[in-house]
Amino acid sequence: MRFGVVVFPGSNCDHDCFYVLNNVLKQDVKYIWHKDTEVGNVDCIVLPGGFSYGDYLRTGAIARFSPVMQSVIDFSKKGRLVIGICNGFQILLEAGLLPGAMLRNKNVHFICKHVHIKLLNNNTPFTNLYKKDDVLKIPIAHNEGNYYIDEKGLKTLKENNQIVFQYCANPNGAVDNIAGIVNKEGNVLGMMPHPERSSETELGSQDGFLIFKSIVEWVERKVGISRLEDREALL
Amino acid sequence: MLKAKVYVSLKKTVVDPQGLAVKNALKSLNYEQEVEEVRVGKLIDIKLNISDKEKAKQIIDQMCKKLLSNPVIEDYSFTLEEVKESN
Repeated sequence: MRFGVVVFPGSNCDHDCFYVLNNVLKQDVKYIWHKDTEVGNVDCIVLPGGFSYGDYLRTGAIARFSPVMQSVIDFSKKGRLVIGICNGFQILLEAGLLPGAMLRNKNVHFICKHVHIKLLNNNTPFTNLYKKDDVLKIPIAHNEGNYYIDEKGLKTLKENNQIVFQYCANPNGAVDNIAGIVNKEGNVLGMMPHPERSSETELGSQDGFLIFKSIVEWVERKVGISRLEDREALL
Repeated sequence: MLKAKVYVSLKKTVVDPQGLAVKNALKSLNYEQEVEEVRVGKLIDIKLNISDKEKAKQIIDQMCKKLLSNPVIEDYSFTLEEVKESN
């Protein structure tokens, strides 16, 4: 399968994502420049971490209007896979592809450390190789990770099983310890922790790797199904 | 020529970590008695190439909704004033 990693001015985890997907996961990857108007032939889009547009105005607020974003939105509306990590999550929120918003961390500090997160939903394209209630050790590195959603929105998230990751110990003040959510349809994931920084044992944890592997598993299984349907259609 | 002053602030229902930090700093400067609450917001100045106030109001309102504020967590308000071209 083929991944596309979007590069905004100020992205700084794009190379890390590319490296893990290409060198560790052994998949085809291409960069997508923020000025491109087409995402091209890819199976999954990664919005990487960083400080797109210097976090001016609000995190993700300017990146959301990059030329490439309309194409990313169209891609997601077709049910194709989009994963936003850290700043990528913030961009997805600003773009309205995921509900809620990010506030400054409760302690007004930039937090950069390994945390433990619990997996609540393994029935997604991004988490199908994990077991429910698995605890993963993954680093966070953010200033605005204090996820906010009103009570009504939180109720909807819970009803639809959209909360994918929860912090075991809340580092930033996020509502309901939320570290990652999917949209209602389940094809768009946003998460603050960095799986690309925890995909090799050399970096202290490999717990994030199965997120990328799950995506491949899901896409290949789906492609397999569609090929079978094609075959049946031919008969 | 018109100039808009756009004020963006966190909604009353949203906790403001920056405001709390500033309040604590004021407390350490012995203003504890005087300060009830601190909220930190943003002021955005926009010079417009239009002179029609009604049209300017509509345009600034659209800008606030689309980009300048995030309606999930923020409220906005703005004022418009005449300025000389040379400004």
